Amino acid sequence: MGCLPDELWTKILGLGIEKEVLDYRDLCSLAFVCRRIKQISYFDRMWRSLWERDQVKLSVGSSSRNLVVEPGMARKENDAKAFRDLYRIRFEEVRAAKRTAKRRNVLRVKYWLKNAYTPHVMKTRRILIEDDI
Amino acid sequence: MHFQGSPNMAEKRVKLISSDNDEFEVDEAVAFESETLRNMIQDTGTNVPISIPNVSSDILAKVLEYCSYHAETMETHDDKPPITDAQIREWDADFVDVHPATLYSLILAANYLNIKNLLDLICQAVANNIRGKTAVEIRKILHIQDDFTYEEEMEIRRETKWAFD
Repeated sequence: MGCLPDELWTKILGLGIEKEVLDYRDLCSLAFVCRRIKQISYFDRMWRSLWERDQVKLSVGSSSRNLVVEPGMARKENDAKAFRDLYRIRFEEVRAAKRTAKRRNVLRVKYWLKNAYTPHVMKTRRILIEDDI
Repeated sequence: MHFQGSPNMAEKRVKLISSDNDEFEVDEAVAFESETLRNMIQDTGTNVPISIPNVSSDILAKVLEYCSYHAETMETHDDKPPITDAQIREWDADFVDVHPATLYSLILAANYLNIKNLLDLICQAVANNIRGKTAVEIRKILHIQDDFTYEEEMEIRRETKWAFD
């Protein structure tokens, strides 16, 4: 299979991206296979179609509220020489923002659990319930 | 070996000869699934057998099986219900459920014979085989030799670290 002509490997990867069979991690795994396939998996147009395909996934705030992106992001993206860099930069930013948001939610839940059954919260609850009636 | 297209119509038959000198006879409509054969037939007619020097008989049989099924799906029969898209997809999925070595020969044959739908189908099947696999697994499935030096591998490791964190 390694000796397939480049045009066929290009077609396999291109169709794989188009049909949402392959993702960024598959392209990165392919880079380790052999020199020739690495070259194809690094093709700018592969990463361009992946970049265009994954815009929703790569947009901040699509899956979670309260995502804050570092102010340097736009500048870093402008410096990207290829779509592979652009993809990586945006991917890392979005991942960092999601992790921060997740950490914040975990903290919030922990705080709530810690305070939920203190006399103060119980009293507030009772007042709310009685008001409701 | 004979592949039936439509039994009702008296159609022109085409003779094909594989790399190991086996002769195949198919309906013109079946051969026309291949852009390469279509051009050859339009040039030379159906009287002369067409030799396909780089496709072996087992692979050619498989390719013709694909072509005759797909030529058949284009026809309408009064006595049979038409073949649905779902049925075709299922048939195609079964067709590419073969050993990677066979896929490899098929992809070259489909490329040479210029059968666009078959080529797309196999390329997608290869992509499916690759999906979610590590480089070591991909090499093993597709029989590819690792030709990187240690330094080169370290460089790729650096370049792709973000994807595996």
